[in-house]
Amino acid sequence: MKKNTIVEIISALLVFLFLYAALSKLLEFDRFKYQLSQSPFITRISPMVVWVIPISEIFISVALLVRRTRLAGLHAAFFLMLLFTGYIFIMLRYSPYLPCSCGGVLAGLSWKQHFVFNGVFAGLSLAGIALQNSNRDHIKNAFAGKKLNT
Amino acid sequence: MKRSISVVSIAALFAVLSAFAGKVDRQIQWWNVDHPYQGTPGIYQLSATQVKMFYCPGANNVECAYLVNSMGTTIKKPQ
Repeated sequence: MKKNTIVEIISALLVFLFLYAALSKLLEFDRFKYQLSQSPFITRISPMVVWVIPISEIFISVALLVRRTRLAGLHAAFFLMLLFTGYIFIMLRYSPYLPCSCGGVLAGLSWKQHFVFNGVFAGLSLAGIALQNSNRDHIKNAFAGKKLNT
Repeated sequence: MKRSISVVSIAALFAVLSAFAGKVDRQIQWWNVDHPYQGTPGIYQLSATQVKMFYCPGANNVECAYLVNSMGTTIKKPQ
C-alpha cells in the first residue's frame, strides 16, 4: 500500500473520531458541561475546557481535511490524543472517583478501554506524522533531483 | 489526489451523520445500586446525566450506578 494512501486512511479515521466527538458534545452541550464539571481535576477550568475541546476537535478535523494543512493537523491530533490519554491515566491512577464524560457511543467504553482506545489513536497520529514527513522528504528530493538534471 | 481527498471527506460526512443519528437514541441501560426501579428491578433506560441528576447528586465518592454493558463505567455519589 502506498504511503499516501495510509496517511489518507489515518486522516479519515482521525477526522471521523474528532468530528463525531465534537458534534456529540455540542449536540448535548448541557450534559457535557455538567459531566465535565464533575471531573475532579478540571472542575475550576471546566467552563473554559467545555468550549476549548470541541472547537479544537473541529479545527483539527478541518486541518486534516485540507491536504496542505494535513501535517499540522496530524501534529495537533497527536498532541490532543496524548493530552486525553494523559488525563485518563491520571484519572485512573489518582482520582477518587470516575465521572462519565464521553460523547456518543464512546460513553459505552470503560475508562480502561478508553485509555487503550486513545493510546491507539495517538499511535496512529504519530504514524501519520512519520509517513507524511517521509512523503514530503521524498517529494523534496525528487524535485531537487529534477532541478539538478535540468 | 481527487480520490484520496474524498476518502477523508466521506469520513467527515459519516461523522456528522453518526453524531446526529446517535442523538436520537442516547438512552443507555444503567444498573442503579440504591434505587431499584419498579418493573425491571435495578435496570432502567436513562442517560448518564439523568442517572447522575436523579439518583447520585453532588460530587461523587461512592458507587451509585453502573452501565449494564460495561461494568467499568460507573457513576458515584457522596458518602
